[in-house]
Amino acid sequence: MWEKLFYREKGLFLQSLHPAAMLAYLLVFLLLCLLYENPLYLLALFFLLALLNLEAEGREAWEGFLKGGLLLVVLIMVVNSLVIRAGSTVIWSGPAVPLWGKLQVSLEALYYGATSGLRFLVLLSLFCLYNLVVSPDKLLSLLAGFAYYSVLAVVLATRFFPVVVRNLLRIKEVQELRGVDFNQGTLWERVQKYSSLYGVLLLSSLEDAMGIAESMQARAFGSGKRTLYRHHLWRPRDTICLAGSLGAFSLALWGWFHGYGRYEFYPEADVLIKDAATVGILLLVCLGLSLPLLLSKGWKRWPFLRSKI
Amino acid sequence: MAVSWGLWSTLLGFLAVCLLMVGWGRRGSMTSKQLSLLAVLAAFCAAGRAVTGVGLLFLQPTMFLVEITGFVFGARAGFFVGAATPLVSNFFMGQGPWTPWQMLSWGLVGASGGLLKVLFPRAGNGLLTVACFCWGYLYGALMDLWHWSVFVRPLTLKTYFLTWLAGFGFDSLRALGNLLFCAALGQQTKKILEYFHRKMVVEYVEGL
Repeated sequence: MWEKLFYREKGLFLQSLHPAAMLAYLLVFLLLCLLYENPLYLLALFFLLALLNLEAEGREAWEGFLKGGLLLVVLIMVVNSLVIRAGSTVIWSGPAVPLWGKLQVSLEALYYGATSGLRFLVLLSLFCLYNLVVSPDKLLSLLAGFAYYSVLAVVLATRFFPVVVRNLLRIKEVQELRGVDFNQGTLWERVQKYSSLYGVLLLSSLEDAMGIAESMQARAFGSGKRTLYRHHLWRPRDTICLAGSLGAFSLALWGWFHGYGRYEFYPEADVLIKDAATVGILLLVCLGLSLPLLLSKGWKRWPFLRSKI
Repeated sequence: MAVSWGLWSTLLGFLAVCLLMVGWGRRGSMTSKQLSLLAVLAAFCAAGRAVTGVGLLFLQPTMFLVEITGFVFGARAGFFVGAATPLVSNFFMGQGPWTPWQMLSWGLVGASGGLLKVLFPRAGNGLLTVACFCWGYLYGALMDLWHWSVFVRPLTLKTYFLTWLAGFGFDSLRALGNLLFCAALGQQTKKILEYFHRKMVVEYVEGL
């Protein structure tokens, strides 16, 4: 399951963007998805993210994310509809529960629950996209200027993660060759076998850490003032994407303060499309946000554009 | 709804974690041994979380290790190892809006270990086990806070209670797992970590 989720370099346009531009773009998505309450707006974001995930060749990962999220969506809907009493269209009333009051499900509460569920799916799709297009190495090297020790420690930990997993398998194999059968014995015996595995793994990992420290020392770690070298290119495509996301965000904010994208669920749900401006603003915001998608399509099919951005 | 609490709670978690991590890296300098030891511990915890987290759902041999790290190496180290655990394992299991709050909660687990050390310097494995058991529930309650603020309306105590109740089974599994793992492996882990804690400090003797 992990191989699908973990970032892999596929030579995609979306992966070639500067990490700062990509992060700004994803951040705008995140803010809008948490800001908007209107189901139509959330649906549009979801649609756009679906296209982006497919463009990033992440269909399998995305489907995995959505399948995992569905259970939580149902939970969100059930909790919302049972607890909220603000809705005026009651579709089911149940028996009275002590300390709680009468059970009641209203259409508005169900609607709100479904919208919350949709928002959760938008969030999942967004982070699926993040996992597909942002390389952890690039991200961490971008942050290294701000917090050197934290980032260095996190980079080391990320680098060491697969090593620990590999060591675990190696130690298990060695134990098995020496005659330890991990699938045999009572539960307590098995626990003992595994706990010896754990101890060996912890000790050998920490010994490795000492080795790393010595090799860092040998490479002059902490011997003087540190220099910083950046090698990420800022290309026209990054400017275009950044402008698109900033434009979309400012327009969305302007719209939000003028009431576009807001939505009242209680006591009665609003009309979905109040006026033409509701759709117009949504379309413009989506246009700004779809710039990377459009560029990516063009980048694949049009060598001239490819040479210019 | 006038105030978007989901937005604010997520942003607040994000900012808090950024500030804490940046502040953690800025304050003072670290030796290579401290740095690599903490990084490897974080990797170890993350691996424990990811390898068992998928198969055994919530029985992870990890939270007690973070707690003991805090106990042996101090609150600052405990916080880092705790906060880095979900961050690193989520690079492999999938980052999400839940990451900042997870980092904060895990960081608190580690920091609480350091606090225990200050309050009860000679505490044995028993106290740590009890603390780990409590953290199983407390961690669930903290994460429910985020979940509740983003996905549930209206924000009343009653709805929070219901959200918490929905996750009670998982929380109990986690607490029980912590209890078992800490009781079985705590003593051994503490010994190993204390050994490396002693090894970490190097003194150069002049004129030897």
